[in-house]
Amino acid sequence: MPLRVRSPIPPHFPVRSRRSKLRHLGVQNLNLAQVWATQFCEAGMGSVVNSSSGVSTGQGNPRIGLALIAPTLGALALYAFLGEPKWEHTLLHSTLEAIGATIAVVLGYLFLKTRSGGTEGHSESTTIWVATALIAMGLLDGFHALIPVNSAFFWSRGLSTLIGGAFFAFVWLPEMFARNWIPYIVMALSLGLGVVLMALPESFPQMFGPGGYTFAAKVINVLGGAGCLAGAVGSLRGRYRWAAPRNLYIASHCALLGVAAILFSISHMWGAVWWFFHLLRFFAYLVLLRFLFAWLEELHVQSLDSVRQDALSKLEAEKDRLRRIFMDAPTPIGMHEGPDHRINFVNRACEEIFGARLSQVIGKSAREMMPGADHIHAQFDRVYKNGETIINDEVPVTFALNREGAPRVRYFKTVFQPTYDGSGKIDGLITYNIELTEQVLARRRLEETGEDLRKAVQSRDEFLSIASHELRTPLSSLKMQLQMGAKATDVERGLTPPPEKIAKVFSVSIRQIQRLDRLIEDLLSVSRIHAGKLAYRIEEVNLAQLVRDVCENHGEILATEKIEVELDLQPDVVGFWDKDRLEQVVVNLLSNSVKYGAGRPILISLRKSAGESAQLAIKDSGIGIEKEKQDKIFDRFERAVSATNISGLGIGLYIARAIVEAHKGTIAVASKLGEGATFTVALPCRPEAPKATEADAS
Amino acid sequence: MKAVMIVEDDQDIRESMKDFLEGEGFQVLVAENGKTALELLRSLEVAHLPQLIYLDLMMPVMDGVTFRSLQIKEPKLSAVPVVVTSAAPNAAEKLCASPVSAILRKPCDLDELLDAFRLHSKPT
Repeated sequence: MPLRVRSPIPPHFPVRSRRSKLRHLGVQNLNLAQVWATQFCEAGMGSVVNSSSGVSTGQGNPRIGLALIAPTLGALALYAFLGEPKWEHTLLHSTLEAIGATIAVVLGYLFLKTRSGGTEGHSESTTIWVATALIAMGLLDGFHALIPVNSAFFWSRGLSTLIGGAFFAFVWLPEMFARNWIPYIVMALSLGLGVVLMALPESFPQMFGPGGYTFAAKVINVLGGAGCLAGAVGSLRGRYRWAAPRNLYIASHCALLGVAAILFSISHMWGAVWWFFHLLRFFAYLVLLRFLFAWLEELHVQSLDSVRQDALSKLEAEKDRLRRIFMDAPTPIGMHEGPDHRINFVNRACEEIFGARLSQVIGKSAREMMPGADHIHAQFDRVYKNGETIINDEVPVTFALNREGAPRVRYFKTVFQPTYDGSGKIDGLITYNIELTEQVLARRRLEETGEDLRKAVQSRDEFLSIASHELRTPLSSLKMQLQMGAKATDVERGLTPPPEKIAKVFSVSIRQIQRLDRLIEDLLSVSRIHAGKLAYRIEEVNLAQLVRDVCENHGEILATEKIEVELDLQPDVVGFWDKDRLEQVVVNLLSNSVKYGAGRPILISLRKSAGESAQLAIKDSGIGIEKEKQDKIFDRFERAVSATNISGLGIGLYIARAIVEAHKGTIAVASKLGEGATFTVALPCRPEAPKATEADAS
Repeated sequence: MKAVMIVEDDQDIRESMKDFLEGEGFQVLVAENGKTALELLRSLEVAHLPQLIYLDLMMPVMDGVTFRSLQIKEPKLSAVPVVVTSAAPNAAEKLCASPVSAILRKPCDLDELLDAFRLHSKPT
């Protein structure tokens, strides 16, 4: 699986650009004139103010003044040129006021709820005063929109401006005066006031007479306007202090309201100036609306941002998890890219394989990392070109010298798979290397054991075959002799073989029976030695005498084989041994020498050494024994020459060694191929009682 | 006169067979292994070659199988029929490359030796 994590957010997502717009709103130097000019042109059109770098910035920008003067001059011009045409339209007036009131109350309420006003960089007291002003003004404007033209109609207008202006002006107050409950109290009072105005419309002094507005009406409105202007300046101050775009909007709003309120004093009911100042008020509310949009947009972006952050951190966590799984996998995994199979991702288990830190491996091509591994590179090429998946079993990898100084070979099952890019094209390959060293070694051990067993079974079968042959040989001779005797004997005709013939039949038969007996004894000895049950009967033995006896007993064979035996025996070699077993040893060694001695003389010497041990040596001048086979000839069923060449069970030396070792002695051979062999037996004269031993550990 | 050769490493068997066959009126040649047998045969004139060879298989120096494979190759000797006497259980297997007239299992009857001669010997 390719570990490529793709961002869930498409790259064209305009997070950055919106943010920069907000930064324009918040940090960069917008100025009132620009806001204003834009508001005039685009208020409510959905486009956020864009501060281009060409706009001059800073305090004392002359356009602020111009912005305030422009509507004023506009009103004066209307006043001068249009005179006083009257256009009475209650519904339009009420609609304008109601829209403005709604915007003010909603925004004021949002300020209160969020305690922030949308953007950072303002004091909480500013928020409280602005919210209070917006709510009071909005509520009273609402009532103003509802009330028909009567005394309360003018009072609601005047009080709205006065109270709103006052609270806007409070932004100048130190923060200590602000209280969280103030907006709610003011909200309640405004509602009460509005209800009273609606309920008792004619209980208030008249503000409008035949000569226009009363002085009191003008004072109330102008004072309110002044408060609004003070609020505008205060907000501007806030804008520079906290660099918050909200303050700019509020300043703009206040300035428009202030100018409108002052224009009130020169207006006439339903006159051009009167409609003009209502238009300014409407614009003032559109500025707020514009701010509301910007604020909501910012909130939206913020929430998108947090969603994105959330998604990103989840993605990071997931990536981290996958990375951990990958890195800590006990199996070396590597990822390669491109036609030269550059390593672009490997896990820690690969460090050992490459014998290098991960950082040294990344970016290297496969050929750089594994020079000489041509078959692997060829397979990589196949995977990359044809999209094959290639699996190799038991790939031996030789590792650098280990602590013992020997390079270590480990075995891996390798899986090479292609990887694909987003469009489904092969862009690289991934290698999994599963270590099989333990299994391979275990299997090899098993195979070796199996081979050993097979050899053992083969060796046993061979032995059985030889044993049957060896047993049949004396039987053949015996059978022939007896059949010859039988043929020569005819009871009916009273014929008997001549005595010398009978004597020969008997002597040959007896010899065959002795051979059989010895063979069977040897076989039983092997079986007993193997079972650890060969028993020993210790007595005083004259070894020189024993050797002489053996030679005499075998004199006939030696004579027929025409083999000379030379004896060089120290006469007083006496020890405590098992006589019969030692005889077996001497017989086995002697018949060995006869068998392999190529008919040449055999020398038997016996000495007693200083360490109270007997040294018996039997030397022939026969075919000799290869160096490599000298160790093996004392093993069971082992012979130095192939089975077909020389008869014998291959157990004589094995039995001899078992008996000698049971007597705490040693048996050894010295030989050169073609130059005969010397078997040497060293026996302690007073061994501890020989134990029934198992000579062959197997 | 009937002439045979005995190739046998075991002296007792060799002597017993020789005694028996001589008693039956055979002229008997003996050799204790394949090598001496080959040398002996080569030294003989064709007219004096035995009519049959009794061949043991397991012998030192040169075994019966090798002897037979070499004997077949020599034009002078190849016509002499061979009867194997062996205690080896797998004698037939060993001889598959060098076929012989018959295989007698040791220990064999004396009558079997005579029958083998009757059946397989090369007429003079």
